[in-house]
Amino acid sequence: MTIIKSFPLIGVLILFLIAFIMPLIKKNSVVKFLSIASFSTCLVLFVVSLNYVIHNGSYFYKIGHFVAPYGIEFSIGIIECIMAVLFAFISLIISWYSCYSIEHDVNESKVPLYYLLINILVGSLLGIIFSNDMFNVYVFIEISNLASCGIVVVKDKKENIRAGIKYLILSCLGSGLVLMGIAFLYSMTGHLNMTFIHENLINSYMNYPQAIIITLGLFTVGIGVKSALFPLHTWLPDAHSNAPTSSSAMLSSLVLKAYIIFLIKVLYRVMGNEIISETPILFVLLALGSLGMIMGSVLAIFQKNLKRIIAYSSVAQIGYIYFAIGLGTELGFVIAIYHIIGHAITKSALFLCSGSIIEKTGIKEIANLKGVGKEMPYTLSLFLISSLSLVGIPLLPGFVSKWYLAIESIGVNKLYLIVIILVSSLLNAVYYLPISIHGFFNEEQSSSKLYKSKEKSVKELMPITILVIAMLYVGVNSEGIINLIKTTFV
Amino acid sequence: MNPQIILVFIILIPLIGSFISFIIGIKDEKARSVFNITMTGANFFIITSLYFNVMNGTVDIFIPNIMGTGLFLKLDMFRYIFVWLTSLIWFLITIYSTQYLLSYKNRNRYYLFFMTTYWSTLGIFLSNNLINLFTFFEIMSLSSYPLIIHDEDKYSHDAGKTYLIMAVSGGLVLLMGLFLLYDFTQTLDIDKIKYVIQDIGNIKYAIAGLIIAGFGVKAGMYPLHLWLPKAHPASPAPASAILSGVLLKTGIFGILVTSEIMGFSDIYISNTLIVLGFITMFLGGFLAMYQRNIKRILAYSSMSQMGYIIVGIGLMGILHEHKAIALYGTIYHIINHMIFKVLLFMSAGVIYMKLHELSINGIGGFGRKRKTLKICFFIGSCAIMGVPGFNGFISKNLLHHALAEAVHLYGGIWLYIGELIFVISSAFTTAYLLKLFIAVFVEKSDHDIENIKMKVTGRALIPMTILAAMIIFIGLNPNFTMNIIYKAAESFYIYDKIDTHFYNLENIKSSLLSISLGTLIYVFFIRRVLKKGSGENWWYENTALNWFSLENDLFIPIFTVIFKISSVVLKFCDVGLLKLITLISNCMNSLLKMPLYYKRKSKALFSRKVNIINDINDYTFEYPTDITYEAKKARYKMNSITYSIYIFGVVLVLCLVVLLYS
Repeated sequence: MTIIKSFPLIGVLILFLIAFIMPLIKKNSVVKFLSIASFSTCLVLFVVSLNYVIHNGSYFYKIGHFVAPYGIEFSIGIIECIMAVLFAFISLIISWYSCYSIEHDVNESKVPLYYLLINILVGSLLGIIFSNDMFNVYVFIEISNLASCGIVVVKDKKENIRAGIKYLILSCLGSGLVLMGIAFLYSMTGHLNMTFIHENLINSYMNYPQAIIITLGLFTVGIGVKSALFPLHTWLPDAHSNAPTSSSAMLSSLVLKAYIIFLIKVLYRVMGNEIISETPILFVLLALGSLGMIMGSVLAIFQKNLKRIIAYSSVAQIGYIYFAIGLGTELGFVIAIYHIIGHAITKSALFLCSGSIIEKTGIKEIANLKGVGKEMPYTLSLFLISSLSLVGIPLLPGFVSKWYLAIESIGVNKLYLIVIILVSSLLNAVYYLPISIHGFFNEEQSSSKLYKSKEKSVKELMPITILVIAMLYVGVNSEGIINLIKTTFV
Repeated sequence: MNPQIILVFIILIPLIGSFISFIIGIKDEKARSVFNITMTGANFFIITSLYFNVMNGTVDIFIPNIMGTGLFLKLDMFRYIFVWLTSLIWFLITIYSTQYLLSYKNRNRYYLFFMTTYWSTLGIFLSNNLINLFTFFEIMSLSSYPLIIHDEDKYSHDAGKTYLIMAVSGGLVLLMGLFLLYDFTQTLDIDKIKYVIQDIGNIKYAIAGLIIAGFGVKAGMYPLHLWLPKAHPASPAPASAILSGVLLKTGIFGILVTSEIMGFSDIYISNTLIVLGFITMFLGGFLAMYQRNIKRILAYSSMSQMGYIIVGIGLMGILHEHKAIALYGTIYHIINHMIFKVLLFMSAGVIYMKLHELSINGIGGFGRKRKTLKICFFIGSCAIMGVPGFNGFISKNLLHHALAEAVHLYGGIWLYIGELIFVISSAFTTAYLLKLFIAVFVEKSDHDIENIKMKVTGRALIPMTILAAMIIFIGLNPNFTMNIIYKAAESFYIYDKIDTHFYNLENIKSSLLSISLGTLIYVFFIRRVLKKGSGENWWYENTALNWFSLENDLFIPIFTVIFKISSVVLKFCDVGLLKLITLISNCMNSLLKMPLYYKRKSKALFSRKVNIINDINDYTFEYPTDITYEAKKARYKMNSITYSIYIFGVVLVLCLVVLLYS
């Protein structure tokens, strides 16, 4: 059974090791195969360890025979495993999708480099999720930082480089703040292991009232800028809209989420409920989250570029996650995790759909995409279903999150928050539905074949279809997933 | 066999039988008729065999896990009267129908719904849980609709529409009452409600109003009687007979249970019932005199008789410890009305069977030589009029005594007026029946229909004869019936017995008084005013047709106005919302396009920059700008790296300040 315990580490190592084999291979098809194979292996490993954790409880896994305060260790619990399965699943689907379309975006000679970056990126994100050591997390953050900038600039266009540099600079600022936060913690406690920092802080936090607050502020802003918390999102629309389709999907659905998981770890594992309840940090998160929910959607309404709309919608959805964390209750925490899952699947489906549309028609402006549903009905239908989830139609995951958020807002006696949720849903509908409506029902343009585009073949639509099916599953089986997340509190 | 099980079978036999008969009927109509007669007959005998069980005590059964709350059936003597009479009447009418319906189409459909109405009616009388009762009530309401529109001509569809609208809305009103009742009392068991009903305060009146209105629609209570005079003439005679004989009684049963068994009755509710009862009684009798359609006369007569019963129920409420006599009168009259009204409708049916005509202007003199029919009709008429020796005499006297008791106890002008109305209504009864009887069976007319050959077989006449015999029997042996009613009264916790010497001088005198009054009305009003023509060429006119009609002049206009007003209001909301949104968006647009003027210095500075970018040559360029343009510029600026870092710094500082100093 000990071999199962090391599955998470094996998964991360496989991704890193295979990544560095890729540049040595000449044939692109072999590289693609390797990428898919590594992600599927990871998926299998993580599903097994999720199963193990559900039955045997969470555990700490020490790396290299050094015991905790001195060595590095992984903390494997239910949430970590759910996230790992989610990340492996989505990156598998995205790399499957990219196999058919990556040549449209990336120069053929750079394809191995692209897959190398993706493997490293996912590996480092998994590292952030699993690791129980602050400095180790920081290292992974830096790796993912570079890798994610890499998958933006790999396209080699002017605007990509511009967006990439902007992303790099802001990310580095964010990492700097995180590093400062870690330094504060280290000087207060003398530890880098989260468990030990927590034990130490519980006893001594009364001695450093200001320092604790500053640390929390540094972490919030530092991670906020990396996870596109409004108003620190300015890098996101450029980076997401210019990057290759599969990179956009990866960035929006996975990269942002890993940092949020880290923030949750800092709040609840390093600090603990006792400490954060004495600071106004949750209020700040709630306020910024609400602001993001509204403003992200408002900004999305003014956009003309299809991918930018979806990118701004990510800002709004990240707002929901911060909102849920900011409620500060058990259910709020559960919904934050659930929304991470739901949004990751939905948003990657949306990006892949819009990528297919743009790839086939060559048009990015939604004003020119009227009537596209007549030519690409399946793709646009998948787009419609996914966007309905974000608008909040029952049975789909977006509705489940909004429903529980509204219930929890009543639970904490802040009824005005329901207004924010409702307004945000309404705004979501305002910018998502016209895309599908104009796409399907615009008679003027559809009378003549404007785009001369063809529907993608079934083979190429399979990944998106699987994502939409997974989304439906997450929505319909919300009860089961939420109960599973709740078991972490027992 | 266990009587509890039999209780379920009473409903189950016709329930299953209705479908079996439908299937048989597809193949062989004759076998279907035999099956139906056997089934209703068997059910009647099963119910009759329960008599001794019920005499010894109440039979009840609870079957959990069906119909939501479980099925709770109960049979005591009070319910047994209804159940036994229903089964008897259904048995007789099934026999009668086999002849009556010969000239009709869609017989199979008719029997299916006829039998469905049968078991649902039995269900109403048996159920001891309001939800069960309501379910059966709705099944009965809806399954009797196809019986009313059986002719499928314009008139019957019109009547059916009125019936359906009133039945469905009545059902919904009733349901609303039951919801409220359950909400406030937490129980739907009819027997338990009376223990909690006094604790719920004034909401009791709202509940009672809703429930009584819901049942009142079925009972033909004023002003909810509109469907009654329309539906009776529209449906085939057997259906009219059960509508009048049995379905009206379900409404009465409901009101009786609500007011007395569930304990709703108090001074206000009882007074309302009495007033409505008197209006129903008077109006029904009065309008009946004007009618020419024989079935419509009988329908208005039914309405009038329901008025007597409702007054009886109301009197029970105000008489308190002396209410025994009112109860006996009420139940006695229910029994009588079930018998004689069915008999009269059957007689009318026999006429229609031959002539396909119901107006007395067209059928005058038809019955002069038809002895059996004449005798049956005469017995029925005498029974309603309350001629001594017939059953109506007993019940009307009991009710009259109850009214006299109330007058004696409370006095007051209103009750005297009530007593007056009672006598006058009885006189009306005599008048319209005399009109009917004399026109059809006595007077000669020039229609030349006396000698039309008619083959009315025993299947139609035997049921009528049985009912006629029962009328005489009940009329001559009041003590037999009274003994049963005494037992039934135990459900109301009444154990008093009353003096049962009905045939004394005073009673006969009061009966003869109203009969002679009625004869006077007939001679001086009906024959002088309503009858036109002379000799053998005569006809009646209905001057009431142009009078104020509750339906056409009040209800329909009111609902039309309500509908129009609400559609205007809704349209206002609808259009108003759209207008509001347009207004907001227009405001936003004009706000965004509003020109902004800078102070001179900055304007100059700005103009130079703009001109360099846009158009160097155009120096006469006006420099106003608007919000849209400014917002675009701000967004563009915000997207630049410098501003991003600037925002980052501001947010960091703000966050730390908020965290540290809040």
